[in-house]
Amino acid sequence: MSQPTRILIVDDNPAMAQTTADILALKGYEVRVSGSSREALDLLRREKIHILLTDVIMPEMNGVELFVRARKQQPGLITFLMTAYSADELIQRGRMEGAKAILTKPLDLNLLLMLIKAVEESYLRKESGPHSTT
Amino acid sequence: MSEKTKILVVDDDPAIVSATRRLLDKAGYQTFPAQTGLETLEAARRHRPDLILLDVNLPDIDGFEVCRRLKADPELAGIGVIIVSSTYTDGESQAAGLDLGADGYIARPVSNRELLARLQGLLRLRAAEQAARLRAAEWQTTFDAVGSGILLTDDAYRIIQCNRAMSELLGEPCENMLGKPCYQVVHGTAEPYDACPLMTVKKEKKRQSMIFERGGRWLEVTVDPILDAEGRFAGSVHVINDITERKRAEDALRESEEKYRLLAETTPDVIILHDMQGRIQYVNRAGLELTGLTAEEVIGRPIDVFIAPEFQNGIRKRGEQRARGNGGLYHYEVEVLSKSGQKLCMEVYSAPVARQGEIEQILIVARDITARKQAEERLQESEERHRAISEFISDYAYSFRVEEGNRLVREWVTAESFTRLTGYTPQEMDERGGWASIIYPDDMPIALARAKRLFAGQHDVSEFRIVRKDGAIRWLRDHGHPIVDDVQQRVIRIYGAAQDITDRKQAEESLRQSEETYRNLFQNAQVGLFRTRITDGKMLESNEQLARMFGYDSREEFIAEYVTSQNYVDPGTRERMLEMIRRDGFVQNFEARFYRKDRSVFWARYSARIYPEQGWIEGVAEDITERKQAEAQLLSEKAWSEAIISAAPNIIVGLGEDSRIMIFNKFTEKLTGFKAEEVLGKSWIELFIPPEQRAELSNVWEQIVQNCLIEYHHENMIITKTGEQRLISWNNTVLTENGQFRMVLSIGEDITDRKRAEAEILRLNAELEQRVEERTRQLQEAQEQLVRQERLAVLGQLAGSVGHELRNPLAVINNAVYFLKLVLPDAGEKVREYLNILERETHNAEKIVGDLLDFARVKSVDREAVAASELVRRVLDRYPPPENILLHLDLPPDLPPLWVDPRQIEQVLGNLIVNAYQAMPEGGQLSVISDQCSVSSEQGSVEGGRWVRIAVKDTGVGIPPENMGKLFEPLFTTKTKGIGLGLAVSKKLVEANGGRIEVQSEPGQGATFTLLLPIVEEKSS
Repeated sequence: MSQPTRILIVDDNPAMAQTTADILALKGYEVRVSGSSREALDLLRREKIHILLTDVIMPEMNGVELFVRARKQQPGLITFLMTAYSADELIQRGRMEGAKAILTKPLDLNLLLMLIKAVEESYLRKESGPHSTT
Repeated sequence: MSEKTKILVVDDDPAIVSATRRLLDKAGYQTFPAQTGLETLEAARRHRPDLILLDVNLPDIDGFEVCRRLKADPELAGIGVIIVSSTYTDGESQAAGLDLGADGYIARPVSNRELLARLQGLLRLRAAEQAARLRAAEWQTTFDAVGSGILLTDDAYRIIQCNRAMSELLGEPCENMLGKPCYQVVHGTAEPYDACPLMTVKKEKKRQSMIFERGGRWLEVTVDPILDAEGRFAGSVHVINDITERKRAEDALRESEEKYRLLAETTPDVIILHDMQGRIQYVNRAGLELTGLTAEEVIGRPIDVFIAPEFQNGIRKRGEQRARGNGGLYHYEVEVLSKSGQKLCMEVYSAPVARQGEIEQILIVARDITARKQAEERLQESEERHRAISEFISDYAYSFRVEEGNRLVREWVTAESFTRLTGYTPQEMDERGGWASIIYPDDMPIALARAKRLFAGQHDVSEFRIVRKDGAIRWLRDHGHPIVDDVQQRVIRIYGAAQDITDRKQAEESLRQSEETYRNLFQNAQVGLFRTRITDGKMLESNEQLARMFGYDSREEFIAEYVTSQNYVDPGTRERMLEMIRRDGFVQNFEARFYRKDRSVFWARYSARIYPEQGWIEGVAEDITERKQAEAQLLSEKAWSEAIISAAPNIIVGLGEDSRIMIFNKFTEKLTGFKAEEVLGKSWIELFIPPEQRAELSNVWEQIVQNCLIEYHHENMIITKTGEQRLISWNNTVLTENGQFRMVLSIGEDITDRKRAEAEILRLNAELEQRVEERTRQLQEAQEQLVRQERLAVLGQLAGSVGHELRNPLAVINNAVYFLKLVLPDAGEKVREYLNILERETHNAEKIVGDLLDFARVKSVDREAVAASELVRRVLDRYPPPENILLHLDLPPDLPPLWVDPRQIEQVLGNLIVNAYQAMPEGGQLSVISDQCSVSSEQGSVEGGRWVRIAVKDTGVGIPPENMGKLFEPLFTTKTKGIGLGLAVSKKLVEANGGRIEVQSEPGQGATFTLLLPIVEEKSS
């Protein structure tokens, strides 16, 4: 086990970010949390992130914008978009830009975990196996 | 002489006056003094003396002047004047005095004796003179005052005296006639007038008379001879009277007699004159015809001969009454024997003909009323019994006791009939004050006279009026019979019976009025009388009226020149009349047109008799031009209205009583198919009214006939000859005649077609209205739909944003629950249960938000090819059926794949299936059937082609029809839970996928939701 999959959760709602982070942490992932896109981009500059799980509708910079910019810093970054809104156009753009999944809030957490697992197996290094909990 | 002779004594010497007066006073005269001339005049005026002894020498004016003035004053001229003078004693002066009118002259001195003697002589002379003058004046006045003209002639016929009347008669002043021969003055001839009675008078010395015409006046002259002592003709007295007026009156009388004779001869009534012994003196033609005898055979015979024996007594009695001087008019009926021995009933009027107050003759006018009488008798017979009874019950009888002072006490009365007649009970009448209290006030004198007669012991029958209790006035005929007590020498009781004769009185009154009318008619009738020659119709005699009728001013001129045979307007008329008159002896009401004098034409009607022996025709004629014109006018008006009725483009019918058809015009013939001659006289109701309406209409008709009133407008159905019913609109009016119903005149219009058209229009209108309403409703609905959708859109936006916002906290709760479940795997049962509740309710909340959001926005459709069975199975996996629900699936595997967004269609199917479960809470069967249908939708939409159908069918409660339409509307729900977006969202999603959703349901039979979904096109697959 080299290093665990590092997931960055971005949501302007701290409770949402925190609870999701806690669940993923419980599942053995290394989790980073940001309250805004700008903060997230800062973090992305400093740290290697495997999966970006970001809310779409956020002040200052939306999730899709963040995803586009983050990919420039870390090409190959896997991104899941989360949304409580039907901002179809934005979602569509995110999909076109290569977001691997679009999740609606409230999150189907089992689905999320399955997706992360699938991403780990397909895109991340083969070496990054299951985490400590498994 | 009762009064003394008054003498005025005049002398300037008072001593003479006084001495003279003393002398005269002593001699028995009354004297007055005067000393001057003016005094004399004044005293003469005041005292009016018979004589003035007038001195000549007076201080102011002398005696001659006084005398002159006295004689010049008409009032004083009669006073005798004796001039007494001592100065003027010569003959000259005496003559002068006498010239001035003095009556005597006495020269003084004169002895007292001589003066008195002269005075007395003078006064005697004066008295004699005055008497003679008076007689002469009297004679002249008498002579002049005689109305007849009188003239005296001498033996040579010279006029020696003539009075004023003669002068006026002859139009010459008397002076001009005196001395002229009478024939010259009277007749204007130079020789004695041939017919002059004077010649005869002279010869026969007897009175002669003659009538002659002079200057348009008729004069009658009577000449008496004046014979001298030896009996020789010495002159004559002519008395001439103007008899023009008398002659005219005589002529008029003759003419009138002529007229009445003509009337008498032409009238169909029998006219007889008989003397007081009953001997017939005149019978007219009708009378002779009745008896069949000639005038010679009848005249002089007693009238009784012709009277039926049982009537002779009555005739005799009347004759006796006449003989006692009864001058009234009798009216009675007798039977006479006609020439054939037949009894004829005659109605007779008889009146006395009186001369100088003595009845000399009786005039009888009789009319044959046998036929009328027979009819009356028949009527009477048939009514006899009924009348007897009704008389019996309508009369009342009574008895009054008469007490001292003629006070009446009712003994008995037939109470019931009395009350029926008067309205009062006998007691009520007594209380009111007896029988007098019910007498009609105007008739009180009759009642009192009656009472007087009854109390005097005379039987009485009176007719008078009473006032009934109800105020009605009735005529009574009351027979009263007094009972006289011989001992008391007074009436002690009155029996009587009264009869109600109101009806008879009314009949009499109307008869009297009608008689009066006829009398007036007759009196005012302008009747012309004529006598014409049979051969040529030459007018022989006529009255003025006839002459005027023919346009002549004078009868004479008319008679002189008018010949009827030349003046009949219509050829052949006279010949026709002659034929009739020769055959029958008379013509009655013959009408012909004649030319008047000015050749204008008029209509005459005449009745005439022919007298062949005399060669003339006599008759009565009247001018009926106006009546003819009126008839002609009436005729032309009748023709005119008949033409109008016939030609009118309307139904015109006239219906008499019992709806008998009297008028039936051409148009009506055309409409009904009946000819007028087929229906005239028949009942309209029977012929034309539909059977079911006849009874009702007959009732209505009776009312119309009775009241002469009809609704101006009505509509009804009639049946034509072919049995067709036509609706007619009628305008009606009732024609009456003398207030009696005559007919109903109705003008109708066939409105059957119009009514039909109207009904059609009404129907179309209604339909149109309905369509408009429907369309309006649709538009309204569309409008409402729009409004609702708009409202929903706003709601959707709001709900969408709220939903989104809710999702965030829901997401956090969801995470928190997930976390807790993760970290508390060994938590207690209760904690796990509560965590599950949290999880489930979060899902529910999420579901609601999801629906809201689905509805609020059109999600993009991600189409892909998917099998219907696949979708169904996935949904059933997610929502497995409860245990009490049987599942029936018919999903053929070879169906073409759908071309839809599978998530959306799954959501739709999920909705339908969950709904189906919920519709069957008690269990049932859910069928999901899929098949392919190539038929296009009912709307024939362009998609047409092939479809896959998925039907979801339950066996639940079904959907009430009223809810069917609202089923797919948002926010409509029958469930207590849920916000009613499910089906609305489903519909929206299906339609977004190019499909359709339909529902069929019967209450209690469950519901079937059917999805029609597009399949993958061959090309695109």
